[in-house]
Amino acid sequence: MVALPAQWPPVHLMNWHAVVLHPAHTVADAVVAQLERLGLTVSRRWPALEPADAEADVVLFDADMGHDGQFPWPAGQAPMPLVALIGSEAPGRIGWALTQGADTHLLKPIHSSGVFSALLIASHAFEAKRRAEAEVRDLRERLTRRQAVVRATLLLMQINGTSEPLASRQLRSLAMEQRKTIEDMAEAIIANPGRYGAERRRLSQ
Amino acid sequence: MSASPDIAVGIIFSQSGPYDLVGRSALEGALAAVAAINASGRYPFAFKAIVRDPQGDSRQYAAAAQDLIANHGCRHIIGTITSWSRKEVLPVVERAGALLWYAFPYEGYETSDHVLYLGATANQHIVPMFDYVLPRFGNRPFLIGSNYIWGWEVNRIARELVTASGGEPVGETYLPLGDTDVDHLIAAIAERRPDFVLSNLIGPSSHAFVRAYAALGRRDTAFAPDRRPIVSCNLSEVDIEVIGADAAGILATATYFDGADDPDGLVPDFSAATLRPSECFVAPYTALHILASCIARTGSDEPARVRAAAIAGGDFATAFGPIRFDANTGHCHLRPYLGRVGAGGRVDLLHRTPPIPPDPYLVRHVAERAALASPPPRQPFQLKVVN
Repeated sequence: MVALPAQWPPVHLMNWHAVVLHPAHTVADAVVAQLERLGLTVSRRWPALEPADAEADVVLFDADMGHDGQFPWPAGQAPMPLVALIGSEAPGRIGWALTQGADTHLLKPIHSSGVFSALLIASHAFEAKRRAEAEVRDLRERLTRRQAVVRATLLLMQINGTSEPLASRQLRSLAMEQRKTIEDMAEAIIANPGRYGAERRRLSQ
Repeated sequence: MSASPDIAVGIIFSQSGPYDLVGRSALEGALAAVAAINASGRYPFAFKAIVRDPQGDSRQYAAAAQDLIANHGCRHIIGTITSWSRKEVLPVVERAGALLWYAFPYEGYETSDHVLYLGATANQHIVPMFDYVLPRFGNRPFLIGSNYIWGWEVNRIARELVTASGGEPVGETYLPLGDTDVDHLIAAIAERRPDFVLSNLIGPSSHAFVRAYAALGRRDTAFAPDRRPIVSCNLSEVDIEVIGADAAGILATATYFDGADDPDGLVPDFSAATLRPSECFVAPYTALHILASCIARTGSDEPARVRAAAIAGGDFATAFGPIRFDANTGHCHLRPYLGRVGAGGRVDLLHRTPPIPPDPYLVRHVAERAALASPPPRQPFQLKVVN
């Protein structure tokens, strides 16, 4: 089961600015009309977004005629939820929409129902993706800094002549005292090991 | 017979724009069929053709379909050539409960209860074409196309087929619709020396490219058509007629070529054709004959009943030979030809496939190729014969 955010629905659509990237067509008219009915402020763009559109809360883009270079950010790194507007279900087109980072899609022709669900699903998927990315970034960083933790523990063992469990405990309590992550503390020890040896002796006196 | 004596049939084919030749031939085919059906004395009704020309402009198609249905009482529409125009007409037809008879080859990935598809889908054009071409010429093609869904998707499928065979495309380039500036394309091909060129160009772009490539082949025999041919799934006799002698040697596929009349099929009446007979003329001609036959069988032109009759109807005698519809997808079982354009512009037939069931989402194709690629199941134990 996937937990919903505490506040559901999570989006305040009245405050949202949507950008619709689609050639002039009844499809674009229908999307804009429906977004406006839902209370959003809407801008139309074609053939490309403008740099300021990076501030938009959601972008709905044409998957049929869309091409690289329409977005002011690298493919797959949109700073907001994306909704692909799909007419042709050819895998090449769907694949292109996915590489842009589409969080959900709407099929053409656009009906009065569907747009609201797409906004909720896209924003939920986008938030989940952003959280997961942040977590992965954090874990990855910790992983690369694990070596620092090992080195700092070994240094503490050498300086103070203690066992590994004791050195490990010392590293954790130092991190807590100085309000640092274990990894930051470990790097501080590596940068200036002598200081922590002295501290250890002072503490033990 | 509940059908009214006059049945209005909507016909939508562009008579100008980037694929006007195909559209003009298709309109001739549709009108020739209406005349033949009305003169045959076989049907207790007559077709009244109501023609719309959206001029190759995608924005005009939906309005044309809407007008035919709402203002002229058309419940059946024969027409559209490109996928983008079909996608424009489709929502109108679905909303109105009408039936679209789509008769041209396309890239697939669509089925609708409101469409009957007579044209080849990918497993009936590019797949058998590459089955023929890759073993003979190699698996390093250069892929080109007009910049829209047909070229994009056929080239994507081509890339997949080529990669699965252990090769790879050496280039992939698109021209804007109508663009005839092909020099950079020829230069890239001359430099990369592909095994062959898959061209999904249409209209004037296609004609300009074929001429320039033939000139390259004359300058350098390494690019002569018997060494490095152009291969196409959308080049027909209407194009060959415009291109002239430079078309010689192109490998093409279609469900009908001029003169390739199936012994079990219907010979179309070409007497009113001003353009050369080809699939473009024959496909709408065929669609209207099947429509007439289904209305006669059901005694009604009600679209859902006509579609059901077409699917239940088994084999229809057509200029493509006997064809029938697949109940799941509304597409046809077809026997495409592979041919080579001869010196006189005639397409010499090289091969005709057995009937191929339609597979518009290429799901069966993928499963079958995967099964072929995997080793045969290992015997769990060895049987010993003991005397």
